[in-house]
Amino acid sequence: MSSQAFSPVHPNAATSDVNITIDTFVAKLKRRQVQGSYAIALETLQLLMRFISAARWNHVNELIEQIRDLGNKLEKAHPTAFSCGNVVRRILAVLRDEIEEVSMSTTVTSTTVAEPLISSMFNLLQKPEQPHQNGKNSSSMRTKTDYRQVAIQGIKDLIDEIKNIDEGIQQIAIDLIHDHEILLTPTPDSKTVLKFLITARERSNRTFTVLVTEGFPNNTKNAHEFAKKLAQHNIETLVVPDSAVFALMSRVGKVIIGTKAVFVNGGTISSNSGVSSVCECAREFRTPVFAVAGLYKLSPLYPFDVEKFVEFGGSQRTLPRMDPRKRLDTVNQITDYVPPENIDIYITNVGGFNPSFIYRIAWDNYKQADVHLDKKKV
Amino acid sequence: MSEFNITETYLRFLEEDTEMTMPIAAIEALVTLLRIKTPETAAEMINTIKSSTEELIKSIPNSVSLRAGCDIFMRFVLRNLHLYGDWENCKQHLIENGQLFVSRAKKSRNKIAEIGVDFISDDDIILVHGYSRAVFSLLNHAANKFIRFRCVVTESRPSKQGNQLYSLLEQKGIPVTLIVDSAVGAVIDKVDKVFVGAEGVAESGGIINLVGTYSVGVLAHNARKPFYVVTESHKFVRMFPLSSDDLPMAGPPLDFTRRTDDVEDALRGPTIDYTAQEYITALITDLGVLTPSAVSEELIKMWYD
Amino acid sequence: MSESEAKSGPTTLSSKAKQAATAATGAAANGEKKLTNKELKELKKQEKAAKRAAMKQANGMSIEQQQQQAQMKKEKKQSQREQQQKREQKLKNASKKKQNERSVKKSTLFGHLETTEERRATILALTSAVSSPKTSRITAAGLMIPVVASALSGSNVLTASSLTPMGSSTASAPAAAVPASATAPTIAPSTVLSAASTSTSTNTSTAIQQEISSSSASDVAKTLASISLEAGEFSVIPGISSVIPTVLEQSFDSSSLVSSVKELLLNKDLIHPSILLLTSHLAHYKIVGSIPRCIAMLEVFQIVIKDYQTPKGTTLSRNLTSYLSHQIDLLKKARPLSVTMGNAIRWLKQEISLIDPSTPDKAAKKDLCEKIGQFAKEKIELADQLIIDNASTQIENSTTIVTYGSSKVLAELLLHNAISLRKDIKVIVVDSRPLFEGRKMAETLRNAGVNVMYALITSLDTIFNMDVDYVFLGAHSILSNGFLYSRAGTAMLAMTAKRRNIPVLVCCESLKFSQRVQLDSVTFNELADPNDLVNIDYENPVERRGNKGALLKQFIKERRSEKKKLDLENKPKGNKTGSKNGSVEENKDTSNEGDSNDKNILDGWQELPSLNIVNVLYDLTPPEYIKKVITEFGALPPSSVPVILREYKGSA
Repeated sequence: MSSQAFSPVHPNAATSDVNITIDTFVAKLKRRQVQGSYAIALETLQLLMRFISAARWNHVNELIEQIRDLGNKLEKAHPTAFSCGNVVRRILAVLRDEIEEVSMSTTVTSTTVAEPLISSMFNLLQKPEQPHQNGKNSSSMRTKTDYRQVAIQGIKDLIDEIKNIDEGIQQIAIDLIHDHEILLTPTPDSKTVLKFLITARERSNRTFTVLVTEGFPNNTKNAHEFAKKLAQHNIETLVVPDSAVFALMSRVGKVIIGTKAVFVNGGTISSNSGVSSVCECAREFRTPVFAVAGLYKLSPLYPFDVEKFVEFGGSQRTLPRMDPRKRLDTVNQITDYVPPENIDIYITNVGGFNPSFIYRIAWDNYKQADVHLDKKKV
Repeated sequence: MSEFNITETYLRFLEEDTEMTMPIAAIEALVTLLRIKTPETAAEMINTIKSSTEELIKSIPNSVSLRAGCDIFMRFVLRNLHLYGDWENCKQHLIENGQLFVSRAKKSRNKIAEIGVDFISDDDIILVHGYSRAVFSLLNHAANKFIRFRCVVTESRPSKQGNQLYSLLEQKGIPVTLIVDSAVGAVIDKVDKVFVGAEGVAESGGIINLVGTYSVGVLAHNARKPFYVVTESHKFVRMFPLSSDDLPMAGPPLDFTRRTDDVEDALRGPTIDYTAQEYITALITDLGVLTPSAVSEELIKMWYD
Repeated sequence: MSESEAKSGPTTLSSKAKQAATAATGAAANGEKKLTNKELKELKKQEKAAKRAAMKQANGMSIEQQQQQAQMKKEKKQSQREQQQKREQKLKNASKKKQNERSVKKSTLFGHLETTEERRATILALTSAVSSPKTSRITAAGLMIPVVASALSGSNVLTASSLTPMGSSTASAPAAAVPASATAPTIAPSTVLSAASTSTSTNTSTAIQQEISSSSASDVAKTLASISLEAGEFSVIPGISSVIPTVLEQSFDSSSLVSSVKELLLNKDLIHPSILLLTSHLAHYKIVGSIPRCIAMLEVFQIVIKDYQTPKGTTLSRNLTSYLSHQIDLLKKARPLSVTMGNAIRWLKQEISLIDPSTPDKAAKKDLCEKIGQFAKEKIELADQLIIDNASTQIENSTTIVTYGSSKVLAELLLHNAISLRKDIKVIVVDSRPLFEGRKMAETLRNAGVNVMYALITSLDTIFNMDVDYVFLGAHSILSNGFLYSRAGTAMLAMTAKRRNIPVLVCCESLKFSQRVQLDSVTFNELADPNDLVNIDYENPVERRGNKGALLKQFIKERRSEKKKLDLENKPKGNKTGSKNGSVEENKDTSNEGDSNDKNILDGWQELPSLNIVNVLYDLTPPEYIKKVITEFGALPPSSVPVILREYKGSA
């Protein structure tokens, strides 16, 4: 669906068409057929583009509600595909910014987004809000077309951003490693890490050794492919079993991890199990851990209940089939949560940040009102 | 007019409304001051506020919390003067809306409860040190949402605020147990998370609170238990203490002078302490869940916006 | 085989043969010369063959057997020839490439440690030295003809069934006529040796021996052709030569290794067959765990001592120690000795030295065997009992216990508590790739009805989010500075537990205490076979795939490329058989490669110079992660290890 979704869809296209597309995408998400946050983000954006092109609304708030509904639907379909909700929120933020701007310039206080996003402690003494007049009717026709444009432009910009994320990250990250350094990466499925390492080798001509953990049982294939690719690019590569991390950590200069989602508290969900143990080891040895994350991985959620965010897989990957009467319980963790205290720095395409500062980057890109897409606005 | 005593007013506010926090009482006291004194010029108003603030801070031994209220008030007045120049309007607004601030402050507690309820899940054992209205409102809210959790409340000497919290929770039907302060280390492993309130939140994100908070914080950190501070954002204060003995206190932290033979009376020492930000997992405030470093940002925004 | 022996070899041969041999060394390079030399050799060979046939007939061998043997020798010779060619090729490629290849095998971090391949090469050299021609199908470890391999139930090559006859046949071999029987078994090692040191004088002698052994070869072209035939139909023809893949061969680049191999070869006759059997078991991880390894070793020592005969002119107390040392040298080549084994050996040697020289051998031997039995009982069985009793007090009703991998004493402890004491315990067994020892542990416990959960080390976060009361760990050894030396992954588990304030307890017999000190896991460790990590079924990762085929595959691949080269060489000569077989082979090649290629992504990792696989077996857990160590002396802090070592060394 990737290519045709890009082609501008006529606004008058039947909404049922879009609904079908949405339903198929939801089904795909439910069956976990779209893999990787990169692909999910892009597909979501393309879907959103079609959706907005076909959407009809009287007031921009209706559009926002519609997008929220869609986002909620997608999130429900795959609660741990964070990039999906993230991009939806990003587009919502673009729209809300536009609304604010419009309301500022036209002095018509049609602000239904009443309070500032982070209401400051100052609010305490602020004057009570003025009951605002409704300037809906006057500007509805004009805004309608405007906002569609704004949203679609926002989507296009975001697609561009997501596609060019590695560039920005590499620029910063390369300066963080020195010659002959030993690096360890427990997330061999991260394309960002792979590209970064290859660029560091080829463009900056640094020599370094990369240790790759196997990520057994769910990611071993990726790990082996990752190692092979690195070796083919003339990077000294060592494949190590997951159990040997502690033994080798004393020799490691830096740990690089890829991320699946980054939360406002600076914690991260990685797409490979065992990463939290690796980062804990690194913390124990005072080895710096740096995480690479595209901006779209940033999520405005707070990991209150980590277990809700961590995914678990079937037992067939941890244990061979056995006598059903003597069954064993088993755990197969697919993703892993790394708490902020075990990460030293985040490298994003907009710069490097301390985990404790991530909340600010999040609020730069999202609106507080959109954190919970499932909550109806009061 | 000269009979107006800022300290008395402040204390009266606190007495009249047990739900009122110290910073709000301070703000209310200052509003009352403006109402009574009715300064003629902007400069006079500023001077009146300044001197009264100083007086208030001096007269109250534990001034951290009210200092936050005074700070906000002062800043608000200054900002309105500088930015908008309509000090009359500002004064008018302040005098007229005294009650509004109080209700807003109370509302912010509800908001905290709303935000913080996600931190409590079924089967949690929560340790609470000291009695904080914000913490109680959060626990109360969680109980109303039918979350099944248990509480361990410290006695919180010397103020014995723990007893108060204990009976409140008991009434609410929340399973609760009271322990002596010195037992925290013994039970910390069995506890899932720690909630404390704060009298003031310093620039660094560390908190100033009832004595013992620091000990609890260190123990929780050592046991790797999350340590949450539940507080209203109007308690953020432009202070940056380095340690507990860096706090404004009535007397020296350790007093070796001999007074009486009565042991109970001889019990002296600090009543507040400072818990540095590295022991704090997150601050649950009406502005949302903040990392300690976000506090600094709030304060910077307030003073330099 | 020592160099001196090798040198003395040629002197017994006629000068003609010497010439022939020198020529043969350059055979592959110079075809024409070969032919003339060949004729000379032929004569010599036929003569020898006749002699041998006669001899064998005298020994009661049927003609068929002889033929079979001859066939085997032929094959052997072919493989050697082939290797020689390879060697020459390698020489051409200069040392630069060699160095590259070396770095393939040794990773940057663990260059100081002996690799499995080095150990394998040694064992291989040795086994082929010890084995008689009859059983020479025994080849490189992991290198076995599939037909035979499937026939044998065992997973690997040097199985019991194949080793025992080998041992016995060596024992009976000396009866055979000197020149014939002596040359045959030594061929393989000399090949290996010469592979390593192409420049040394052994080269010529080896070549000669090779020529001698290839009794029935009639013509070079034919031989070469049949090589390709055999290489291709490897899986069809049973009984094959001693073949060493170049990977292993390269291991002999280091001179120290070569000398150690020579040392071993020199004493090969001293080696007891049961030691060989044990060596193979150890090398293939059939016996794992430091306690089972130690018990197995002690049992074998009992047999060895029983069979031991004091040579004339010396006494048992003097000679037995050195005799045992030879056995131990071999054992070391299987895997580095475990600390328990080392401690037991030290104790045994001390016991031997204490024997009064006047004691009759028989009595002394009996006494020693009894003492060994007693030692095992005291130090292991009774110690385990004490440990279990002590640790059981720690386990209350409804506790959750996390353990890692497999440990004999832990399994007993948990079973004792769950079954005999009827405590309601929950056990979480954490496991890791590639050995999956925990599976065995989990199954044992599960089958006994214990509430077990199984998880992999990557899921540590989830496991410790459950209500865990204790972590119980087994040990390989506890070092004198309090560090726990145990299966790789233990340290990570202990660290995670410690960071969550969950007490970590180690159950460990004092036999495992070591005098050694060590600071990190890199300086001293054991490297297991990297190929263990290569083989994996990505779709179904739980099915453990052995690396049986890894070396075989490697070998076949080498053979294939070799064969192709040979085919090219042969074709101009118009040899029909060669080309015919070649074409048949070609087809097989493609079909074979088709199904084997896509299986493991890392297959052929040896060819990527910058790719390495590290499979370390152990890691070090710092003492600060360990709450207590439960031994037969009671529960101790890890810092008390040196105290025990000092106080009780006498009794140990």
